Amino acid sequence: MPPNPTPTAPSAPVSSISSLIPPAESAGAAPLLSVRDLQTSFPLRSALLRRVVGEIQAVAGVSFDIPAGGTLGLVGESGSGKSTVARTIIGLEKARSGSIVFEGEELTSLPKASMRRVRRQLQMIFQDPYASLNPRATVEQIISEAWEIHPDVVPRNRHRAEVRDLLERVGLNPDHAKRYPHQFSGGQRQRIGIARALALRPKLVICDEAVSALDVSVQAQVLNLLADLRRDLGLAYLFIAHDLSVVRHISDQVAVMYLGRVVETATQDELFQRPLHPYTQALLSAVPDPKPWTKPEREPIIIGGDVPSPADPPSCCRFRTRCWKAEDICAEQEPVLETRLDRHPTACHFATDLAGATR
Amino acid sequence: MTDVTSTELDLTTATAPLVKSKRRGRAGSARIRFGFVVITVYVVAAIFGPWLVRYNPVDTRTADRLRPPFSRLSDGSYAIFGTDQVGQDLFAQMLQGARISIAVGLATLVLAGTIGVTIGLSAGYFGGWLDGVLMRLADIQLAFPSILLAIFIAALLGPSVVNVVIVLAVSNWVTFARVARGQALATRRREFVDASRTLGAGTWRLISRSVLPACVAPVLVVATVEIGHVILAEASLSFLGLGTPASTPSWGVTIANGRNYLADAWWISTIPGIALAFLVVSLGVLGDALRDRYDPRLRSL
Amino acid sequence: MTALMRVRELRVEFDTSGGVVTAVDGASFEVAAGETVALLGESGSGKSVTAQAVMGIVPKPAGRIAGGSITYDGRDLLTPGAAKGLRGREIAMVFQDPLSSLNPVFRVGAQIGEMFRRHRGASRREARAAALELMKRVGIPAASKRLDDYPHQFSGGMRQRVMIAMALALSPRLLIADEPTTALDVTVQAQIMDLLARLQAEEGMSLVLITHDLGVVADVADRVVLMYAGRVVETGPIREVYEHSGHPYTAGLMGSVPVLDGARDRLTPIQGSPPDLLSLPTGCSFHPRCHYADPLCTTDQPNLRPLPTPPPQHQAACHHPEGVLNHAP
Repeated sequence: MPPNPTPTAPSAPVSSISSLIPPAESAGAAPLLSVRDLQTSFPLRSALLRRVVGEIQAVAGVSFDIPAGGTLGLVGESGSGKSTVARTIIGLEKARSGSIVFEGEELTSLPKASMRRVRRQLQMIFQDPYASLNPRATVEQIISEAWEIHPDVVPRNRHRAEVRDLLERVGLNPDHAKRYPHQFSGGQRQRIGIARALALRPKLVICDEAVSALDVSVQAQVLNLLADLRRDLGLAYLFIAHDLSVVRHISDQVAVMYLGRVVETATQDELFQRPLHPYTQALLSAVPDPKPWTKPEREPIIIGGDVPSPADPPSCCRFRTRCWKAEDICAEQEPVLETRLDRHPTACHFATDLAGATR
Repeated sequence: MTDVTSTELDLTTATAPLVKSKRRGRAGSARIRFGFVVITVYVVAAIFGPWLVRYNPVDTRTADRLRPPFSRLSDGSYAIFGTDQVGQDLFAQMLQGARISIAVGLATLVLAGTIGVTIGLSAGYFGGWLDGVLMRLADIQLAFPSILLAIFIAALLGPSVVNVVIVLAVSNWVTFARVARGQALATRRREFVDASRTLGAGTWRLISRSVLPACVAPVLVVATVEIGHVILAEASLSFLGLGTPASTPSWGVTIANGRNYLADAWWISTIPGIALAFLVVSLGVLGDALRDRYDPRLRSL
Repeated sequence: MTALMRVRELRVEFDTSGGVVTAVDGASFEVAAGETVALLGESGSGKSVTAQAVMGIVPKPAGRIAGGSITYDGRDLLTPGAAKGLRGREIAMVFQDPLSSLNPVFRVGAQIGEMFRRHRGASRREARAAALELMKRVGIPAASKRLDDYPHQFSGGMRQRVMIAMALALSPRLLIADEPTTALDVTVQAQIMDLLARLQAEEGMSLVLITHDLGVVADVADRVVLMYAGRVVETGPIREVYEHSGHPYTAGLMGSVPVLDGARDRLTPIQGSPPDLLSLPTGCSFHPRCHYADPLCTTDQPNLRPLPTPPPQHQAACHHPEGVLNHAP
């Protein structure tokens, strides 16, 4: 469905992806988005009196960069804090500490008025194609709301034409602008959400589980659309998902989160072929493979237990309670996210290169 | 272990809810039609009746007092509902009374609705201490008997139609506030509201464009249920002499007037009583049916 | 191979405000003893409704079984009375959302034990011991302590284990699992699939896995039954179906799945939107989204038939399977 007459060089990855950490100075140009030691927490209230009895540290010190036109995939299971990272960057949650620098401006200390200006460059696609569109508004109203809030982007007399353009761009029939969300299928609704996010001509789009709710066949259409838009509009994505296959498909760079921390980060190829952190290794091993018989037989890594509650995370290495490599040091000393085995940053005392010599 | 809801998901999400609304719709539409017809008759009578059958409060004709229904009066006209203790035509008096009852009901709802929705939206949307304060206020209001309030206000300001509206509005805003607060709480964290936020929408825009529209349907449903209560409450207050003044023939006043003649002239109290009961029951039926159809979650209210 | 359960021309309809929806439209398949069958399909395909029909829990009064038959071990499951004592005992089911399937006000141990007390007349003490045994078998750590916990005290993965324990209590010969891992994290999903496969092997029971995820079942399923718009469009040994798809829909699904170790090529999705069950296309329901469709496909509904390539168990409901087979990479 998404028209793609020229399938040459599929979404050429950005030429120079600066190594995520250490920051900017290594590469020439400053990154579009630079997050440093971000922490976000929620108050934990008692059930009875709703008193604040503690806090949940949903994001416990996360750092990464996204270059203009690049795509960072952020993966993790429930409780990893990946969605909170997204919501904090876009301003739906307040950061407790750390910095978010977007196009050279520090967002955490930006006054409200300036934040509105920055918001144009920074948009979001939501997970649920049913909940994320106002059921009482037409498609045209949903998309043009952005221009009512920022009247200087598109003058009122151009709204209708611009809506048509946007609908066409996301692969919808422009004649359907007067319809309501319930008249569309899930995949089409997600396209409407994408059109809304594009209305302010952003530079960075945060996709928070943007394809997770869709059926496989429709999900593929939307993934292709996102790739086309990136190529045509030079968008950068922060792509958040729990599905590793999807993340690998769309990302240049990937960061794996566990209980509020990044445990490993590398380029897409590197991370998926040579994961160093045991959690990444287990995660990759757990991804269902539609054609397992084409792979050489290997023992799957199945880690026991569930993700611990973010309200009461294990001390030091947060993965140690489920890790088969854990030793005393993991409970005594926090593993730093740093380049290990001369390959890429990972936060594990016992990082191993499975693809390398060791078994 | 027969859990149907979780397996229903396989049907397209569009069809599953429709199954339910269809069933409810079929069951409720007879009730809705009945309610609408009855209420239309009352409203038409209240609007046009007093033009057709003139009512003059100072026009007393002792010759025609306490005539039973369908008797011929001295001027040759028929009094289908009979006459009262001062010879006033009861039918004309009731048409006038319908005007007052319905007007008081509507005015109260508008006032109570505005106060309630404003308070409820603020409490639900902003939450925190404001929510706490406003909802405690609502609890106090609920615990305070409205009759006592009516006596207080009547004593302070004297009985009048406006004061009845104030009393009733003050004792009825809480229901609206609760409904609006619930909707605001449910809506403010919805993804589409977050989406507007990420576009840079301000608080006022979020409330007026996203949260308020979500309140409209449930508030209208609640208003239908409430208007019956309000009309009954107005009649009760007037009956007790705390509502509309005796010169204004609301149904409550007429019923109270007939109280002393129950043995000789049953119709003075009985006919307005039946008219009142029928209207209140019809409004209740309509309100219930609308609620079942549009917002079953409100059943507890 | 004798069939333990046989579904023939099953038809399930639902009344909606838009008209009658045929959620399952003449679906036929069978499940052999000891076999693991994957019932695959996207939303609206009718896979879960098929399971509801088997379990006798089609939502009433909107839904009804309008035709066809379901036989289990030679007995007709759709005749009231004949199915008595089969469902819940011989045929058990595990649902997607274990929290809403467990009673929140009873302790987990009591809920599992209830199966033994009700169906086996076990005493309280015996039931408790049996429940403990089952909880250990499904891999719940510190089972003896957790017997007296309530469902909300369990994590999602542990709750699903509790549901599996309840389903296994009466040693069923057929277990139907409806999206058992969809609500779970990927590492937990791996645990549950591993558990189901192990239990299936130990018990020798038949397992029907209902899912939308082609990958989840690839390791464990013997056979695939793929549904689209209420009909079975392709069936056969899983490897045959995945590698040599005979239906354009199957081929399209395979092209839509991003694979973990694949190159970052463009995906080749299926065009168009999933069908609207209220106004299904004429002929083959898939024809508006199909590259191979010709006038025949718009008028005649294709039936399942063996593909030109062996094995004969590999069947597809397509007028032009040759094209699909030859085109596949």
